[in-house]
Amino acid sequence: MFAPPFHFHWRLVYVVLSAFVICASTAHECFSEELLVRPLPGGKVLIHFHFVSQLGSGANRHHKLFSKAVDQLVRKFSLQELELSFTQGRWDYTRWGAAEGIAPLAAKPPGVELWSRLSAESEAEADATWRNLTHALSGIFCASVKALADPATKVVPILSFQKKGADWRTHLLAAATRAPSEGEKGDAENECGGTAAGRTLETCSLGAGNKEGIRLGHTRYGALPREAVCTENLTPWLKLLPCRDKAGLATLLERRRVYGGSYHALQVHIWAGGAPAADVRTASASGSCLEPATGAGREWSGDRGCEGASSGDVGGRGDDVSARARGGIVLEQTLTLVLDVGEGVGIPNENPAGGVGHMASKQAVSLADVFGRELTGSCPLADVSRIYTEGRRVDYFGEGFSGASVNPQPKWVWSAEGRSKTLLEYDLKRATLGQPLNVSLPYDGANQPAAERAPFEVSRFVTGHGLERGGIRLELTRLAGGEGKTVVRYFQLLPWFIRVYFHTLRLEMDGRHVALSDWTERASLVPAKDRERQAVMELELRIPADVKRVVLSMEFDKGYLRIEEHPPDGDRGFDLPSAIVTFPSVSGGVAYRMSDGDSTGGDSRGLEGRPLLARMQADLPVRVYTSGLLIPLATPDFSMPYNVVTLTSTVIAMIFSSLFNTLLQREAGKPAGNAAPDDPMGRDPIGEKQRTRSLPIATLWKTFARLWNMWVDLTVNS
Amino acid sequence: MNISCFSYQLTYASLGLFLLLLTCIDAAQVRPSEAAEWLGVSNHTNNWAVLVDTSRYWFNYRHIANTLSLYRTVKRLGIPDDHIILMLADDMACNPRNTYAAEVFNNEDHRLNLYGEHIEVDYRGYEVTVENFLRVLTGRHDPAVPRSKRLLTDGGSNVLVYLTGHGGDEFLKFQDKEQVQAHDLADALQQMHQKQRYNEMLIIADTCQAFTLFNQLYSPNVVAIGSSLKDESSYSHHIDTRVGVAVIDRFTYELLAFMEGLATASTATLRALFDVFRFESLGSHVDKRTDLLRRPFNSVLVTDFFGSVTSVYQTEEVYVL
Repeated sequence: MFAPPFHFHWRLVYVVLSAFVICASTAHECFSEELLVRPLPGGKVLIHFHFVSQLGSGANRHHKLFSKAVDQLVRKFSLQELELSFTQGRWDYTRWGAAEGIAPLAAKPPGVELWSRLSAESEAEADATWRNLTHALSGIFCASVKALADPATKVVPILSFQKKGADWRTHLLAAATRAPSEGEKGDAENECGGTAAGRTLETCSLGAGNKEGIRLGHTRYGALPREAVCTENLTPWLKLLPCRDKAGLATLLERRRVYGGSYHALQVHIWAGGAPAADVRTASASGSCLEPATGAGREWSGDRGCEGASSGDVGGRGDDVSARARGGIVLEQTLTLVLDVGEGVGIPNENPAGGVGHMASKQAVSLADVFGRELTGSCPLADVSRIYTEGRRVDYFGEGFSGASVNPQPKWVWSAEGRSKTLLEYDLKRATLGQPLNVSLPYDGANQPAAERAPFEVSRFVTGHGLERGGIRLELTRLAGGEGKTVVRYFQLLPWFIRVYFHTLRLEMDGRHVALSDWTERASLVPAKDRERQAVMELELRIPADVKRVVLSMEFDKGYLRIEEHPPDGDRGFDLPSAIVTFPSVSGGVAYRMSDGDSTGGDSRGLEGRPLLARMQADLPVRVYTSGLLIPLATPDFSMPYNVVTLTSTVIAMIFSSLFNTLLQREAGKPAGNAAPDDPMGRDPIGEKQRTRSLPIATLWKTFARLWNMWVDLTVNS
Repeated sequence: MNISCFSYQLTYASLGLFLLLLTCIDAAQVRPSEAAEWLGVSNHTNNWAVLVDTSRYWFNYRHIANTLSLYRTVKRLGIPDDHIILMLADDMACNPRNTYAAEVFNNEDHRLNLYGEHIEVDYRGYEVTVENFLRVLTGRHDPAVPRSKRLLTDGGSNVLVYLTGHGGDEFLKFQDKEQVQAHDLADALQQMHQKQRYNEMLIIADTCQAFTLFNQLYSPNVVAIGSSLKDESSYSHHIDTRVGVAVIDRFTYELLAFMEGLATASTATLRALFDVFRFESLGSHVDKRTDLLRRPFNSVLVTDFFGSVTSVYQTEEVYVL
């Protein structure tokens, strides 16, 4: 009689309990998936996947959504920030842009680029951590990142890759708010100290003390221009997503389309809460290193000893320290694709005459067309699942666009401030179930708005010929729209076997040779050491407003490598990583404002819950990566050692054996036993033989002894 | 009477002896391995695979396809990715010369994309060296090397090692730069045996003069199959005119054709696999080395090496940590 209410009662408890568990967990872990589609000129479409996973501060080690591998990586290596990219193809800066919204996020150098900021007490500790980090990343991402563990590839950037003051994370998902720490506000522009004022070329080093080194972190950079990028890198990347490619936007990633496009860049970006290790380290420095801190840190310090106790993942000593030590982690995963849609949907290529409208055909490009797969729904674990399509306002609200084939219907319209571009936002969480999801964007091949470019077009190439010496030339050509005084930061790595003569650095402005020191704001030149360190060159140049063309050139000698230092395809030449030209005075952010839409859903009209828009609004540095350089070096004949060894051994064997034969062999045709009775002289033939044999041996022995004495004399006397 | 008494005594004695023997056996706790060897059944507890392609450059596409054929097979038959060490000396799937991005084919009909959607390559490009190969086998790594790049086998592991590339008399070239010698391989295996890093091992080589690579092996419980004898070449199977190069070698082609017909629960033996290789179709003599194996070759199942088992042995005592 009372059974049903009883059961119902318990069921209610379960419901409440599970709801509480879900709430509690989502408060700490969030996941968002977003996709941006932008038409590009030339029958191409840019598709940018943007996944953000966030682990709130104070979370324990049991996660629901957040990747355990990343959490362990951050804890073990005291990461403050890490960026890893796998890129194939070249970003076309002039046609696809460099300075707006998505371009600073999407443009990466070919191959692998890795930079990170590590908490460490000393440079040596940072080096060791970097080494282990590259090994770990190799394992996680199926790549040869560990080639950067070689100390000869170590790079400590001084001017580039430092922290910027503004932090886009403040706009992140509203559900998991975290307090920004003071460490993030630090502007590293001042790290170089006195060099900012001086205009002379001088080497400045970080030289930060222990505490500073922990707070600001030690920056390390590495690039592998020749690293192949393929499905095996995508597989582990997908494993970091809660839904992998089983549900949500990642189901679109058809491998043949992904790798068959013009460009793709797979990136991982990790931020760990502020400077997590700083306070714990200083707190534990006074006490015993091995003594576990209070609370949950016990088992961690237990199995990892000193390192574990001091690397910031231990429980706190005091609430403040605890909160900082367990600072949250943000994992941003992006995949940018530039795909050709021209052939597939019958869009003619960009009209070479430019702007003549009659060649262009207006078409709608849908996701299903681009990927050949249909989207079935959003990732159920995602808090946010949105798609943005970009285009001109007239495209959406003109006659060409029909919303009929679209599910879900676009919900919001965002306008970029000061630009003609419009974003349409689709919320997959509000899609009509049971129907395939699809969005399409109007594609007008000939009438794409001009990309916002960097103030200068950048190109770098090798000069000279032969295998002995050469030169590198960087050319900056001012583009239309890039007028005004400009600051340019140049970052270039040179392996030790490219022996650059820094005194040959020559700066030309509009064809006139000018003194480099007059136009250099700051500089950091780290010379290379053979087999130990590569040269790092960082220059900050001031370019006056009237200068149209700047050329920086330098000369180098090519070093000789040992035979075992050549890679198996050494004859191909050696790849130099891309140089980076940064324009710190140009803002890369685009501010989006909601201009239109359906406000019944209760969504906020700000950027909360839209990490991609927040990211595009952030003041990202505008960087242009030059193409890599291929430098042929003098290669030995790789079969030479084999030939030399074989030939020498043959010659020695012939000389030695003939000598040996002459000296030791019995005479032929004179059998020793039978000769004796016939000998009329009655000599003992065996004794004769022995004498004849022993004589040369004695001589040989004496000769050796004499030589030995001479050699001993020589070595002792010298 | 006497005789019968004697016979009774004998019966009692033999019974006693038998009981004694039983007790002895029980006391000595015969390892399941010995019993299994005697019965001709494998007693491994886990399966691992080391698949190595040692040659780079586009014209060696077929060697990558060979290795990926094996990768596909072992993965299909149940060996998980973290039990497979895959070494590919070059990138063929995303090679600029490959018109089929992210795909590698073993046949011109293009029905099977060997690269698949979820491949994991552990060592690639310049990392495929003799040193790394021998380190993987012997387990002697730099402490920083992650677990995914290690062969974490134990005394219960059946290990499949597959090598393909360009070889000669008692050597196999790595990337046209260095070579592993038959002696190196034999010593690495002996080290593995001493460290109890395998239960049984199957080594397959598809190279020219492949069988000479096994001349020096001396460690127990190793089976070796080589695609060609001394002074014989191993040949490629056919050229795919759309890819532009030969896509697979004959030996591996036949191997994959045989394997595609197998399921996880298959009872096909290595003998059946071995009988597939005929001189008429290969142009070379495939040979096997079974003298080091303790159980009869005819009883070895293909899935002992190509599949994954989950046999569980109970321990009756507490396992002391």
